[in-house]
Amino acid sequence: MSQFEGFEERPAACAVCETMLPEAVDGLLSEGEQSAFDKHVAGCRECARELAEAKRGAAWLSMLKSQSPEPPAGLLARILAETTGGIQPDAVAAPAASLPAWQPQPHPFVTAPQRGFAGQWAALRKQCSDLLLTESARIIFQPRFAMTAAMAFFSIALTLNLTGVRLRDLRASNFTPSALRRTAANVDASATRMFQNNRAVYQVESRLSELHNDDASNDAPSSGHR
Amino acid sequence: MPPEVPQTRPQLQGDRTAATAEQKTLADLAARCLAGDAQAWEHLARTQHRRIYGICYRFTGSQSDAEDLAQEAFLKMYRNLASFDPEKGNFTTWLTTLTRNLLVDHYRRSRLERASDSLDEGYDGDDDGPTRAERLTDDSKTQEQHVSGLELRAQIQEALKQVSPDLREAVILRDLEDMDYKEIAEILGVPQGTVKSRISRGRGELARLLKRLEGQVM
Repeated sequence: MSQFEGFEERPAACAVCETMLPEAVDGLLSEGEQSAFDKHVAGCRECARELAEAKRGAAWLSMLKSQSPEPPAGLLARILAETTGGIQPDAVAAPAASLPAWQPQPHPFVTAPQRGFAGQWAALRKQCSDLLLTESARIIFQPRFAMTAAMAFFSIALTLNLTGVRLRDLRASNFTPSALRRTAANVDASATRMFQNNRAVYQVESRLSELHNDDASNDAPSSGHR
Repeated sequence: MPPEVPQTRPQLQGDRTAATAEQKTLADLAARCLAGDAQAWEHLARTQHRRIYGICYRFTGSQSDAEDLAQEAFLKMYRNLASFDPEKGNFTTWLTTLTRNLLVDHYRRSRLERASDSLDEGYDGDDDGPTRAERLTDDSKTQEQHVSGLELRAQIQEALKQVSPDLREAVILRDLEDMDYKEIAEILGVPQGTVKSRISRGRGELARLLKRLEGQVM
């Protein structure tokens, strides 16, 4: 350390004296220590000079201490305004983010169990609505997410349309178990009907083709025998 | 002859008891603040802002810097009050450490500016200009001005500002804030031996800076 520079060139007694110097100035040495210190200083010019300087410095500081600096009139008000948003109207209020963590804040997961299920449900619903109103809403309404959602909606609507469900005609009653069963049966019947119809069409087509082929084969030999 | 030499300061039992009670009160106030008591915070700020401003002013020597730093210290304290642990140390030491860290940061920030200022002074080429100590005791001032308490204290403050920062903080805490070596060691984060050495050297440096003024006062 820089404060111990030069100790090598001085006697060990001077190093001890220097260690005791602030306590000697402050009057904190015991009687024995004080007499040993005085004895050394009396015979050591360098230590005597250091003691005299330290005493003078302490005296100047005690003079300075006699009047403590007066803070500006508005300092306390500004401190309070900056921290708790206190009493100074013209002071700049601290932003919400700078408020301390120890500021009392009701925590939903701590307070909710005390209010029973109704309280929990209300808190949950509030959280969900808050979520939709703030961050999530901001994400959802970004153009790329909105376009994806629209495409998904159209493809679902198209699929439902093909299966015979008309979104425009949907009612709450359509979602009762019996209505859902009926819809499923209708879709099934429709699919079966389509399959049966297609089978009939294919059978007719196949029969026509066979007849056509038969005609062609009967014509060929007869023309050969002619 | 130097000015009046300070009296010895024996630690009386009564003083110690009063100091302990004061620290207990401060710790209680801090706990109430943490519980959300705004009045406790106001009381804490009201009782501490003068001392914190004083430390900042004595260290920087500038009213505006001291004001900004004191405000910053209280904002930092407000945000970090939860980190105060009464079992690890008293409230005054905790708050002083926090303030001292801000002062060190401020000193480091402004060091570059000061370095460029001193370079400019060098380029001005005023080699025959007054020394630091001479500037403190301008001969054009009358004896009456020097002797007046206000002027004298301004001169001492000006000299204190020129003491090396590590020595300056040690003497401010010891001689102006009446802290003991152990508390200062805790605040500065150095051993007690280093604290004692810095106090002695700081006092010595101040005395040398004010040597000329001494002759005029006496």
